This record gives sequence, C-alpha cells and structure tokens, in this order.
Amino acid sequence: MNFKEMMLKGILPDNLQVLDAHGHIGIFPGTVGCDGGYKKLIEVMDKRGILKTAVSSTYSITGDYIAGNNDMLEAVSNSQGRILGYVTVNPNYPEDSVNEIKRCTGEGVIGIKIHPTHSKTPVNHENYKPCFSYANERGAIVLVHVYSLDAVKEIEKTIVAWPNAKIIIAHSGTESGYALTAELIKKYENAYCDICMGYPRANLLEHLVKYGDDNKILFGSDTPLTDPGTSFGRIMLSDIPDSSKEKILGLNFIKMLENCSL
Amino acid sequence: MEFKFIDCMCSLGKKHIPVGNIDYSKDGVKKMLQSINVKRAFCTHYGAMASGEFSNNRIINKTLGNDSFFIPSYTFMINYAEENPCDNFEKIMVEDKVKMVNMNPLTHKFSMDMYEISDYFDVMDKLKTVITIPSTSVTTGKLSEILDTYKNINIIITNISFSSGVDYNKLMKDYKNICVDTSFIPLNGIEEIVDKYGSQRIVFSSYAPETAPEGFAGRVILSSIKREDKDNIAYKNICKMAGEDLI
Repeated sequence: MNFKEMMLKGILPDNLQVLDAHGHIGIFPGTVGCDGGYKKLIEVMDKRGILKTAVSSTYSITGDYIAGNNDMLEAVSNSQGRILGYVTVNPNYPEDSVNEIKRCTGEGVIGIKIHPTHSKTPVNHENYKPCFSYANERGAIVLVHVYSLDAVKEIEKTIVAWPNAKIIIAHSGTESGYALTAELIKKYENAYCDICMGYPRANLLEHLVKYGDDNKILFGSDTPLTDPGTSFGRIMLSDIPDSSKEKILGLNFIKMLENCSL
Repeated sequence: MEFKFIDCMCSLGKKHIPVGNIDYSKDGVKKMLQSINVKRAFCTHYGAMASGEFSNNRIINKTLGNDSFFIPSYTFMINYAEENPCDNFEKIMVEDKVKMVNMNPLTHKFSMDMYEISDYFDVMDKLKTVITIPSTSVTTGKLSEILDTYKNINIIITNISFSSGVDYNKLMKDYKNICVDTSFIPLNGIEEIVDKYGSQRIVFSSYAPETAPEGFAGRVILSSIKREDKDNIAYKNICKMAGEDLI
C-alpha cells in the first residue's frame, strides 16, 4: 500500500519522521479558537505524530520582538528538544538585529524569522542587511513570510545577494507565487520553501515537486492558526511519490538542521 | 475500512476570473474529489453565482446532466425586478427538490435585515433546507434571530479560517441546528468542538477546486477523535441534515 492508500484507511506508516518547519507560539490579534501556548502545541504534536516544530513568537512578529523572542526561548528551553526556535528580527530596529540574534542564540534556536508584511518593510530593504549578512556568514536559516508573486520576485534578489544563507520562502508565495517559487528552489542552492497555508491551494504541492525540487520543500503548518493535520494530510493524500512525501514531511528539514548554524 | 466523504462545499463551471491552472469542469472537480474517496458532493455553479437570478441556478442541472455524483447547491439571490420573487423562489425550490442553499449577503447584495427575508426563511423552514452561510457575512445576533424562529433549517457556517466573524461557541451552545464545517482550522479545533458539542456539529467541506481537498480530508482523518466521530464529520452528519442516505 502506498502512503495515500494507508492514510485513507487511517493508518500512518511506521518510522515516519515528521518535522514542522513553520509554527508559532502565541496567537495573532483577531484570531479565535486556539491555544497558542507551547504546552498545547506539544500535546497536539504528540497526537499527530510530529517530532519537532520550529516556532517563532507571534508577539515578536506583531509587537515587542524582545518580549516575544523571550517567549520563544521559554518554549524551547521547556520542551526537551521538541520545540525549536526562530529569532524574530524587526527591521524597524536594524541597529539591534545582530545583538538580538546573538542574545537568543543557544541550544534549540535554529534560525531567524522575518515578516516583511507585519514589519511593513520589504525584504530587500537595507534595514535587513545586518540580519542577512550575519546569516550569510554562518549559513543560517532565514524563514521569510512570502505571500504573493511580487514578494517572491523580491525574495529572489535576497536569495541571490546572500548565497550562503538558507532562505525558506514561507507559504511558497501562495497561489500567485508558487510557480516562480518552484523555479527558484530548483535554480538556487540556498532557496527552500514551505507549504503552510490555511486553505491548501490545489496543485501547489504537485507543481513544486514536478517543476521545483522535492529536496527543497518543507512541511509547515502555521500552527496555531492552522492545525498541523491540514498540511500533514495534504501531503499524505496527494499524488506525489512516497519518497517525496518522506522528504517533505521531515527528511529535508533534518538535513537542513544538520548543515546550518546560528 | 476506508474513509469516505460527502463534500458540503465545492464549485464548478466557467469562472469569470479563473485562478492558475485549476480545472473547473465537472469532470475535473469530480476527479479531484474522487481521488480522496469523496462519494458525493454538494456543488455550486460559478456561472449561477454570478448571474443575479435565482432561476439561473438551473444552469447547474444542465451542466451535470445525469451525473449523480454532484448534488446541486443553489445560490440565494433575489431578482427585485420580478413581481413575486419569493413565490418564484419557492416554486424553484420545490420543482428542483433543492436540498441546500448557499446564502452570501455580502457577495449577492441582499440584507439579512430586509423586511421580506422572513418569507424566504419560511419557505426554507417548510422544506427543511440546509443553508450554508460564510462566517464573515452575517452577525451572531442575526443568526440567533433566525435560529430562534426557524427550527427546521440546518445552518452550516462556512469560510471560517482562524478568524471567524461569528461567535460559533455561543451559537452552537444555544442552538442544535447550527454547525461549522472543516474550514474551522485552528490548532486542535476539531477536537475541541467535538469535546464541547459533539461530533454532530462539524461537516466536511473541500472548497474544491481551488482548495486541495486533501487538506481538510486529511485533517479529519488525522484528528484525535474516535472513528465514529470522524465518520460523522466525513459524511454521516450531512446525510442526517439532508434527511436521507446520500451515498
């Protein structure tokens, strides 16, 4: 039986390594119906069979980046390795970017998160230079919120400018941007993408696999906005090869984590 | 035993502004849904939705022909140029044996506060219609008023995402004939609704063809609830609401 057939029978394959590369702790303003705490996250990870989730703090993205990053550090240090962390950098305080990254660097903190939309600062703005320069020196992971075709076009310049930084195109640019995202992950060694979105777009995953590179696609849930079961189920029930599913669900992120440093 | 689904929300037909490389045809949507074991699907028609006249929903019957996989869901519209639009509405609902009506006040420019809306709800209550309403297009208060008055309809709140426009908690606590669909997506969301209100209060919707049906179907399969609860969500609840075994 292939993974899809198993899933339709309610069975998960043994030894499936599932790592969520894009989650959050805390809740975004205006969202309802979810507990954003790390304890609830671990409880649900156990139920869904997810080994680790890499999170940034929602408060660090929409409010006080220092206080939010502290929330992230608390989650990481209290999770026995189940929760990994992204340090959020706020480009509106460029002079503090590197200090903040260094402050938060430690066991379990695996990369940097930037959110150009909430920061109202396009990804190629000079205020991100300290952050990308630092990431480039170290081969660090940078997870970037990318939600449109225009944003994908912008991120290409970043990918080219900082070839040693491992840049994850979060959300793959959604329905308008995923075709270009597929090209970028195929063309550039340091370009990756995740597939998290609340309403998974039809054909997006299949296109990324067919025209992109299944070694560069990551499972992400956007939890707690979206339960990880949605993206997980999306992958398992799709018609891509099982070998691609295993890579996307966890092997790709494991490899990334082995080859990066902050 | 394999999971099977009945889809409460999909669409087909020629869309005015299509998205990407989506196949909006009847056969394309059907193939997409059948690949994850959807056995039947309530569907709206993009052309009908854009037309402004309730009778234009009949385009879906022409499109479907004898294909019984799809069950037409008619989009609620009022043509004020007609002399007795509500009479016409009832005639069509009865003649076409419509089981589900999709009401979107924002998109179709009618108000849930308009004086004559009760006439339409009288018809739907008599016919025990299932009504889908997007969460951002109606208030909790208005839904409460409707549910206070009409006991024979069933309302499914749709298009919820993670920022529902309605207080679904209050509504589901106070009324038995309202539920959400699987567009309610926050962390552990399905489990918490099942815990608080029972698994009869969620139905499966795919939002195909623009949304990949694998996502919400997979969410149901992977939820940490009993198999019988998953089957309720997947297909049994909508059968009960529609008043017949649809598979």
